[in-house]
Parts: sequence; C-alpha cells; structure tokens
Amino acid sequence: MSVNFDVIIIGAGAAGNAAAVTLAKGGAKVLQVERGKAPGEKNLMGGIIYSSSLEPVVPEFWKTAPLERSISEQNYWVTDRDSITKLGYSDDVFKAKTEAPAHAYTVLRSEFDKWMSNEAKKHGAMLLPGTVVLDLIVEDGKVVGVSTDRPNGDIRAPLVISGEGVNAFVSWKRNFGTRPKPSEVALVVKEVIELPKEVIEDRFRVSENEGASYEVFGDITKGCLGYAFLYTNKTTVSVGVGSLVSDFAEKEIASYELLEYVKNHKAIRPFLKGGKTVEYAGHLIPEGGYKKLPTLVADGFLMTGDAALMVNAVHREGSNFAFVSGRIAGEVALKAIEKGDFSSDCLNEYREKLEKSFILKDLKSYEDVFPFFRKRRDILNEYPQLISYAAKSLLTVDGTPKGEKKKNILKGVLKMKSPAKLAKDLYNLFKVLGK
Amino acid sequence: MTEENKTNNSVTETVSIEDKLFTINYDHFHETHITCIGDPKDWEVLDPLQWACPARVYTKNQDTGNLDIDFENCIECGTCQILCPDHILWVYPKGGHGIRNRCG
Repeated sequence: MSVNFDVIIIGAGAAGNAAAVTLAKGGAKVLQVERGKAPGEKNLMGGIIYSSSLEPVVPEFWKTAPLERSISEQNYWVTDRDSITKLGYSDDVFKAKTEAPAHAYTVLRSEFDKWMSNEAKKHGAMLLPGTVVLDLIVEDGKVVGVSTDRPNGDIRAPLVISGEGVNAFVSWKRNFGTRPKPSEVALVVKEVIELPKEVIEDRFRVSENEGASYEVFGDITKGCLGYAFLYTNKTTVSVGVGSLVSDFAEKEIASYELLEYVKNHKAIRPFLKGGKTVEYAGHLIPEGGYKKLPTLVADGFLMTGDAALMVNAVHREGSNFAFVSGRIAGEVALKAIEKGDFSSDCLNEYREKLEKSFILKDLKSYEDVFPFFRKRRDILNEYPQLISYAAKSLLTVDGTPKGEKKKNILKGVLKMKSPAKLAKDLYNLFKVLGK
Repeated sequence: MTEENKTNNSVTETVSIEDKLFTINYDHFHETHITCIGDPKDWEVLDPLQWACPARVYTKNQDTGNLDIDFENCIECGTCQILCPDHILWVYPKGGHGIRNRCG
C-alpha cells in the first residue's frame, strides 16, 4: 500500500473501533484491518453496552447507533431443582431522558459494529476488511507493521494496536500474552430468538424501547461454573449460557445441550414460548483477570480489549472495558504520533492511565474472585439450595408458628453447613467480593 | 444427559445442534482452517473436544478410530486450540470467509 499510515489497528470490534474513532477524530492516518467481510460479522456478545463508556468515544451515540432496547430492569435469579429465588431491580434512573442516553442498552454486534466502524470511517479511518493479520513485523525489537493473508500483504506503520479479541494469535506469536488455559476461558453459546414486539413487551412487562435483563444462577448450569442469561432486543431475545471451557470438557456436558436445558428450564421457558431461533453462535470470554494481564505495551505496540484480558465477567463487562481501553489507547497513540515517539517508554502512559481508570482497579479488586470460585465451586451449588430451603420453609403456610419456623430454618441450615464452615465461607466470600 | 440431570421440564421443541448450525450464515473457503497436528487416535487428549466444541466439528470415526474434523461446522470460537493446543492447529479462516453473523 502506498499510503503512509500512522497506526494500524488489528480488528474492528469494540476495542479496535473505539481506538479507530478516537485516532481518526484526532486527525491520525488510521488503517483498520478486519478479518470479516464486514465489521461485526465475526463478533458476538450477550450483549449489553453501557452508555458511560461509549459516550466519550462517540458523543450522542444514542441518536444514531443501532440500539435494541434500554435496560431499565435487571434481574438476578437463583434456581434450585424445584424452585427459583428472584431478585430484581428497576429504577427510573436507568431510563433514557430527552437529552441523555439510558444507562445501558442491548445491542446485536453485527449491526452495532458496522455502525461504529462507520463512525471511524466518517472521520477518515481506512478499513481493510476480509483480511486476516498473520503476524507482526518486528525490526530491532520494535513493532513496525503487520503481515496479512493478502498477496504482498505486508503493511507498515510505526504503531500497531491489537484489538484482536480473545484469540489473540498475532500477539501470542510474539509473546505478548499467552494462550490461556481451559480454566481461564469461558465458552458462551447463545441463540437469538424471534418474537413479536408486543409479545416481548407483554412477557417482560416493559414499555416500548425498554427492556430487561435476567442472569440466572444455580441448578440451571448443571454444576458448571457460570450462569445463563436472557436479554430483550427489539423483536428478538438473546438467550445463552456460559461456563469455563474446562467445565464443559470435564463434566462431559455439550454446551449446545446445556443451552437446550436452559431454554427449557422453568425459569426461562415461559419467556420463549412460540419463539423461533434465528441465529446460533458461540464465543470465548477471557477470564484470566489481573494476575494474567499480558504485556499491554511494547515498542510500537499496544494491546486492548479481550486480547488484553480486559474483562470483568462477574459484571458482564467485556465490551465496556473494550470501549474504554480502546479509547485510552487511541488518546495515548495520538500523543505518540504528535511527538513521533513510539517507544514503550512513551506508550507506557497507556498502562498508567488504565491503572488509574476503573478498569484495572476493578480487575485488581476482582483478581481473587475467579480463582476462589474455581476452587470453591461447591458454594455455587450448595448455597442456592440453602436459599431455596430457607425461602420455602418461611413461605410455606402449614400451621407451624413463625417463631418455630425460623428456629427450624436455622437448625436446617446449620445441619447442611456447620456454623464454623458457614462463618468461614461468608468470611471468604466477603473477603474476595468486598475488596 | 445423565440420569441425575433429568429435569421436570419436558423438552418439546428441542433445537438440535444440526438445526442450530443451520441458522448460521457461512461463506466457506474451500480449504480447511483446522488441522490435526498430533496423533489423531490420542483419545485421552482428544475426547474433550467432542464435548466442548459448540459446533460438533470433532467426532470419532467409528471405522478408523481417527479424529474426524468437519471444518464447515466451525463457528470460530477457538475452544479447540485452548483445550488441545498440541493436537489441533486452528487458525482463522481465510479473510472474508467462514461465519458471517447476521445478529451476533
């Protein structure tokens, strides 16, 4: 290619697009290389985006972006074999105002990523679709471009930003991060199911353009570490389930069969009745967390989004971290371009800014959560049973005085878990989650 | 599904994996992007692929005992190379080919 680019971005997903928009708006000459024929065709998420992270990248995005529904109600359900314990939260604060976006929206990534990539193009970024980046070009220890699967496909630029996603082959090849272990990655399978708009609004008790999210824990994952989800779109719902790759392998549960179990579970099934599956998909989520963070910065190189393990899966924040890390990478890159200095010393401001942002603070405070639950998966199996037992005992009217019931519940719970164990579990839970 | 996992929710409209894959928009390249680089009969290592792959790309050939790879089913998640990095070489399909999500 004869154009001289300031920066090459690998991938037109959430992170790559956030970096591309930021850089193009700042006047940089940007080339974005995307393996899909069009941006979004390879991408997948649950999926919910948060306005607070997207607004700084594309101001007033909510006026033009292909958004499905704003999420004004969030539900967390715990299932046992026969019961469901429900916790939900809805708040007018989450709703869209006349001149402000709602707190969060569901999106379908195929359309959404196309829109966001177009935002970058509007500001002058160049997109090279249908092209796989095969390797980085490294000279004198500095990244100076990429090689692609096109004939004569080497493209040079003094800075490369990886927004490769979870399978970051190009980065791994150069030891910027490593392939995660099966216990550090979650596999999510999902179906998009079509339902008439009115049916969705009736069933989920939401008004036009508003929606709800459901995350369901407990028996619904058959002992796999993870959860099921159900999100409302305009004329479809997204239903899926995710768990560690190692769990599917060790428990010999096929993910697509678990998805069928979820869809037919009494917590989910009533919502889906009469719906038609329009698309099945699967994707990985990197859950290595803070302890496994790769080199984020090298000479001529920055890593963003899933490729850099910027995911807080407990709070379904993958694209959210991708928008923020992509934007910060773009801002730091603009300064580097202005100075003409692409050394890791100069680019290290990216790492510093991330450390100061909620991203690395969150990743750090959650660093023990996944190892803890991986070790103590019994907590996710046994405590739903305890919750169900306590609720059932208290709510069953059978002539037993309430005082006696409460005593019995305490006795029953302590029979399932000794006071020492219970105290220890609660202490440990508080320690890892309260950090 | 095992005995213990039996549920009281009767499954009446099961969408099989074949039906699921049928909903996906593919633009296949004529060459495979998945290669077995280890022993194709090493079932101690390969067995989890049969469970973990969400697109049933990997099956055991009942005649030869070898691993069969149906790359045209692949939904490009990468689970296989995470599980069996020494046996499965999985790369992205040629640019512009493979899955083309309509929803995502």
